[in-house]
Amino acid sequence: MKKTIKKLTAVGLTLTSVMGLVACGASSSNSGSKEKKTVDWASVEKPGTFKVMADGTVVKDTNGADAFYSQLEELTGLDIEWVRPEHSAYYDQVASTFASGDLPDVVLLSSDYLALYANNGYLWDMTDAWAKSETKNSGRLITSADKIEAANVVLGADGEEAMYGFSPFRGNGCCTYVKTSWLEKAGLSEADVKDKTLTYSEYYDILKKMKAASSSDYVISAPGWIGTEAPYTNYLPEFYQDAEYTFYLKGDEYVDGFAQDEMKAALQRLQDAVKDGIIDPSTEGQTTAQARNKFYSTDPSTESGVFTYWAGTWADTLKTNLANKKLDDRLVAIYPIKELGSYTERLSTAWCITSAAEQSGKAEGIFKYFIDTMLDGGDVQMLWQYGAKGTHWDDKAETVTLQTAKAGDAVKSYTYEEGKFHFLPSPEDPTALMKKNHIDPVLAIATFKGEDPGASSLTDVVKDNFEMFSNHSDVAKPLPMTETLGNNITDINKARNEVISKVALGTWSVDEAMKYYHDTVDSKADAVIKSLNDLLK
Amino acid sequence: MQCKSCNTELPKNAKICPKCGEKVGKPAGNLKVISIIGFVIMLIASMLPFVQSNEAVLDGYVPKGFAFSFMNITVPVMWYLFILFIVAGILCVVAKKEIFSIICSVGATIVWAISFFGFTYDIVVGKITGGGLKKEYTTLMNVLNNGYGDNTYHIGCGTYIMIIGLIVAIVGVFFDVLKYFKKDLGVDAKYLSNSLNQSLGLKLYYYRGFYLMYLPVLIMILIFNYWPMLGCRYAFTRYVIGNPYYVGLYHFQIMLTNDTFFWRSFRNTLILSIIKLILNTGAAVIISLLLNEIVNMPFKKTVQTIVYLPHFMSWVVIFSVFRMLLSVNSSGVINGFLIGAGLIKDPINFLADVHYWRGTFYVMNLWKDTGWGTVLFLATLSGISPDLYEAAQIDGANRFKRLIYITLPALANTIITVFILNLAKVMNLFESVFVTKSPAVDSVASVLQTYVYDKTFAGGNSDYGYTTSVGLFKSFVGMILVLGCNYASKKVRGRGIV
Repeated sequence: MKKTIKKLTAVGLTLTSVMGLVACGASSSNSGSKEKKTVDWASVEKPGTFKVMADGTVVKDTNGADAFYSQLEELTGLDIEWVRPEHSAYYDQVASTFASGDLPDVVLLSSDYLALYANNGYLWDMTDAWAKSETKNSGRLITSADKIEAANVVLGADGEEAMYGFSPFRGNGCCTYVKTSWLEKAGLSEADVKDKTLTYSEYYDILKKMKAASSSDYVISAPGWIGTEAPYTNYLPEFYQDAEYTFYLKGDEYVDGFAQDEMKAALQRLQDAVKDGIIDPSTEGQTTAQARNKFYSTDPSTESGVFTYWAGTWADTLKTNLANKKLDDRLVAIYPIKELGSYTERLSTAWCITSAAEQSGKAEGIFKYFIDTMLDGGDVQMLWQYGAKGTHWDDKAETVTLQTAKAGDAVKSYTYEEGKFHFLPSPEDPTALMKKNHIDPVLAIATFKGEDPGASSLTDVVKDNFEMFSNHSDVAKPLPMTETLGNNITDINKARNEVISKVALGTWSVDEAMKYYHDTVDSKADAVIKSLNDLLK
Repeated sequence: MQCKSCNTELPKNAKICPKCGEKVGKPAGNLKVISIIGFVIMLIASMLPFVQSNEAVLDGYVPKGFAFSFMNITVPVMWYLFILFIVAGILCVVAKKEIFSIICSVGATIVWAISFFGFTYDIVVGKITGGGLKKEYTTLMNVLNNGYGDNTYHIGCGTYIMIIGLIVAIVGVFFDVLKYFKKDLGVDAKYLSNSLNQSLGLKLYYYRGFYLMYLPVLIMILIFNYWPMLGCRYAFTRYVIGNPYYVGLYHFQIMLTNDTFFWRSFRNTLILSIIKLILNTGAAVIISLLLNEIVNMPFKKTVQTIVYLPHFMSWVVIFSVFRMLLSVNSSGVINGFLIGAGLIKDPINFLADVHYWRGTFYVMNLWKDTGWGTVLFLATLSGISPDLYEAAQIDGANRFKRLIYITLPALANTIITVFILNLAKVMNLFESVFVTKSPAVDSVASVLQTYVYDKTFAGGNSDYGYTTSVGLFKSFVGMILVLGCNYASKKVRGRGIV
């Protein structure tokens, strides 16, 4: 009997401990809110070892990251443990990390995730830190810096707006590139589109002429009908024009942009353009790489002649890739058409400090020594913009030779004199030169203390294109994150994407599609609008 | 009844053997399965709402203070204590100490009753900095009498199920259902080591070598298959990053009553899986029969290798191949051929048109998996005695007759087995659909697994609570299919698959 009791007790305790884990979810969290501390920033010390999670926009392990890490440590004296998930699965990893509770101290987040995690109380409020930071008070910020950082001011868990992230660079946006060779084939010239604000009908006429003159099945092949992040409509802006894909503030209240008349008109334009052979029907489900490849295609039947893609560095990359394929590389980046008004600059990704860093008392130190030094106007900014000296760029006298992509290709060599900044071949792809590190030189929100040492690396194409884009763009407006929005946006976007695809491909008329949209997600959309409008009260 | 010691026939109600003086114990009965079921019902009931709001479930809103159970009690120790009683009760039943099991079930009920009337419960009203939840506290009697906010409350299903569980756990002790499944074989029990008539401990000892070898597998299954099942509790929670909180059956109510996308995905899962299964099995049988007729061995092996190969390609590669072949542009081979042959005027968007997507999906599946599916059938065909064919040939049967009267009957059992085994897996469709679908065909392509993926990773809040409830529902349907298949298998083959 004694033995039986002992055995039962042992087994019982084991089973109970296992079953007890079922109950772990019920453990209560503490309540109450913390008082905001006043920090003496001059006395803030270095934070010790901390964990940083970043996507592939910071040079990757395969692209000489080690050199970057060690030079950063040398310059700042910071002991950083880097977490570098695969770029394409970055946000899946971020979501898993936050769900598991094992938070990094610093994380790079897109605007959507920033709003989500700030709203859930996982990010550190850096409003005060930013206000007193060296960068903010350096006098080197570009004029639109405040507008860029304003997008990082979102609702926190306490319902108050605060700055929860820092963007060291602008978000950039897309502009429309037209191949000069296609214009000429259509009996037009660069002068017909360059430095002009066309109307939609003028633009569409040009597209039709280009279609008639080419042997391709289409003129435009885009990476999907709609983007996956704000401003969503940036790959086909001339067709969407003033239509808003998601909820936005119209006057003094939020409305569902997708249900507005502007979107109906946009959908009709898309359908007509596909029917007229202007837009490639394979745009459905097409990736950015596939769309780009069509722009570079050497097969005349699959080549596209007009492509809306990123401004700045990409203007040069597109030209280079066309030239590499021995295609005519003359491109014209056109002004936004009249009905569009301006291109939209996307919300930039931001460096955020998590509540884990706050709880371990490292938040202030991380801001001061890691984030605030990114744009120090000197060596650290050089690192973030151009990469590690000796690995990604150099200024010694040398001849840089690129590897050839395949046997028989012409060997490219560049000779530089002492003291002249130049990029080195990319460690990841030795057939091309490095172009930048995390901060695109044309997009940085702060200039260097003196002259930008790498300024000579920027081609006129990049500078001119970005200047045009800057003069003709507005920053996307961030949408506040509410719990109801977060709960329902997946289903609502699913319906929206289905509507766009089916209308564009001609499966549904606009009216049929909108009826489906209203029948399917109207109640969810109403709930979201109510939650957004409640914020305005 | 006989004495265990000397086998003397004992008088009725004797406490000791009149011959050898050995104590006479009450004969141990069988395991009281019904009682164990009762305890499990009580455990499940502890996760269901004891008290629930009368608030109507609306699209898009997550109500505050929707339900209360052990999962949002402010003193979770009460739940642990309850679980302790339940586990102890089950162990007592297993140890055939039924009286103690009744005491445990009553003890668990007392803990539950004290929790119901004596403790406070959380209501989540917001979030706090650092990733926590802002809470208010109330008693169940307070919300039942006075409501919370503008809502009134009623006794939830958890309370009723708890009472049912208690009754089953107690009453089950007095019912020995297993005895109806046991037969008196008239053989001494010690020769029946693998029969129901032997004790579990004896069976484990008798086959200890086998069980030792099985141990690593058991550990692996426990860690990777059973441990994650504890996450089922999230189905009853609203998932806020790192801080899920209890919402009772809210997700199930939303899923079954309001969610258009869920039902669409459920319907598509069944349609796509079952048609795919029928087509794949049918095609594999036909290919097997054709391969079996080939007499030139090198040619047969070459053909077999060629048809097996697509199985080893990933769905991404297969989709890329089909995307090129089916392109709507002039580079598309299939559309080019159809237009060239005058069969169609405009190219067909096979991969983005709801009328063609499913057909294309079945073709892609056939191309990928038919060859691999022939392996089992070819093995069966090779086992058919050549004597049968020779005899049939002598009797004048031609090839077709031999196929109809010898090959197919010999293959029938394997076909049914393969069909039944695959039918049990129909709810697991994911990769092939995930890779090939696009928003234009979502209405005919979205399946439960892709729906769960979208809800989790496609932006917004990763709603693990809701997706877990969808997963639980899927598992429930899967379980019904498995049990149905098991029943069908028993009927057809004389033995089950589980």
